[in-house]
Amino acid sequence: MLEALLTYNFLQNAFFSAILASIACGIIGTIIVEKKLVMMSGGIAHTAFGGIGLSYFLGIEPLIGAMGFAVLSALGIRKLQKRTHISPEVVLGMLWALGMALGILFIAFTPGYPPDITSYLFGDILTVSHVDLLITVIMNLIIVATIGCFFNAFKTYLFDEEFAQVIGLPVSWLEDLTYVLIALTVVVLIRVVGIMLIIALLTAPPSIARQYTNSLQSTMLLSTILGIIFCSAGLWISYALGIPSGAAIIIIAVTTYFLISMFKSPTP
Amino acid sequence: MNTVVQLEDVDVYYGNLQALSNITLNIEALDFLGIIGPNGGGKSTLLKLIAGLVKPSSGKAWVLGSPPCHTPGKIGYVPQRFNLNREFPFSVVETILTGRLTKNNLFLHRYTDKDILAVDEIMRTLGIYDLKDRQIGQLSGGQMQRALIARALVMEPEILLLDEPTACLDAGSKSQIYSILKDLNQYMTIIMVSHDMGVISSYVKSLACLNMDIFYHGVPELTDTLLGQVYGCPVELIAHGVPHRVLPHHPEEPNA
Ligand SMILES: Nc1ncnc2c1ncn2[C@@H]1O[C@H](COP(=O)(O)OP(=O)(O)OP(=O)(O)O)[C@@H](O)[C@H]1O
Ligand SMILES: [Mg+2]
Repeated sequence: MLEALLTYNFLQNAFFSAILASIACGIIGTIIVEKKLVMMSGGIAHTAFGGIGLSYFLGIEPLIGAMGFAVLSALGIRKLQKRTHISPEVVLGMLWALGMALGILFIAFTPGYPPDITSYLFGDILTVSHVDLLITVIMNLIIVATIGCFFNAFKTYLFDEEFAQVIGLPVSWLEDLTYVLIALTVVVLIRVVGIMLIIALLTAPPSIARQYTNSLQSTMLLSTILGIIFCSAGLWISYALGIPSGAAIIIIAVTTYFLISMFKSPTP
Repeated sequence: MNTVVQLEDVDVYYGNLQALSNITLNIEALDFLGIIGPNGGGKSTLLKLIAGLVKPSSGKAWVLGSPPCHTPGKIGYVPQRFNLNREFPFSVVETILTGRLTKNNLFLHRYTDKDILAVDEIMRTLGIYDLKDRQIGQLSGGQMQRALIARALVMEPEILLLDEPTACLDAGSKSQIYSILKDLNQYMTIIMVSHDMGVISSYVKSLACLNMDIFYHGVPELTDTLLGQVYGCPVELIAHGVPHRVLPHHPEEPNA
């Protein structure tokens, strides 16, 4: 494997992108789990598919379209939540399906041979291109810089919104930012595990990490390390056995979560 | 004396439900105001209004000379119901430290040694120093209440809002907290909601009775008629240990 990694460019891209994805995932995944935004993130990921379809239709880079849709849907969900008294789950469910429907529609309208969409749905880390990598690097920088620069503000907001408001933190702005960062993370993960599998990679590492630590920083750090382990192992299995990388990564991550939770003595 | 909270004809609605009606109230600096009233009478809503968490539907409100939500860092607030994320990976120290955060230097913010010392001191004063490394959600009701009082106190606010701050506390902690509050009151305005008549009588400087509107605001002396008005039914005032100042002579009471 190591030899192959040194020889083949596509494996280097894949490995690099696995590490970057794990960083975004460790930081934002922890926030998603602690703030209970798991379903929200699933919804944002699925609406991004509409953007991928639109990109094929317009002939632009699919991840750019995915990013546009993810960010707009994230902010849109926020607006709708504030405006209507319907439970956010309901709005989310509709947007979730609408995104997929739009994606399929755009692809059907795209002239010529239908593109291979499975790599976006289930991920294919072995086909990560230089453009994908560049987008991933930029997204990661944005995510790490934003959270890093305003860490104490984010912590306080995530813990107790009401108190954050009383001490004058820009709560509504922090909330918007959180949603946008989730959207960017989704974009980073699309090539690695795919739209359908993103939720598990976002939630498994922090849920494991949380069983061993009681601080936000170390949860994020440990999740990142776990993510790197899962993604590299998945990448290796995928390369060695020729099976889809997204599936391999998710199966490893979720199985590890269940095994660890099962063998851990139950806490009251 | 200058007025720190000024409310003029304030109404607050939650959707169609009116919680406060026609509130006109002035609170002077360094007052220790006790607020009593029946459940659902709008006491918590009044505190939230002052803290800037709910907006007046009509009327005018000033806190420290500005609209309520423009006074961050000057108002400490201990809510009645803790809407915080109990499972959050936060220790007691980290929770209390957030009281030192201000909106002005959020970029690359780090807590200073001074912040940490202030938190240590307040934890010792409130007797929760031993719990400092516990995860916040693992605290008992009373411990949690003390931790959140600590979080409000490290802010060193000008106005302290307390919504039934001692509802879960044992008798010892209760009197300890009140003597701390009494000290703080020398340089801090305190507004406190309580159902505990004994406390109201022996610690507060003035009293407001609230049931949608203000029935009474003045010296802490309660009469049966007034309480009947506020609570809508006669209220048993004679609790054990109630000092006599609150109770003017009571005709039916045998040993008065
Ligand atoms: N978030 C809310 N949404 C809708 N209605 C609310 C909300 N909060 C309070 N209310 C209503 O406003 C009224 C006043 O509530 P409030 O919490 O201020 O009462 P309270 O005097 O603090 O009562 P308690 O003694 O039970 O704490 C109640 O009728 C309550 O049902
Ligand atoms: Mg209340």
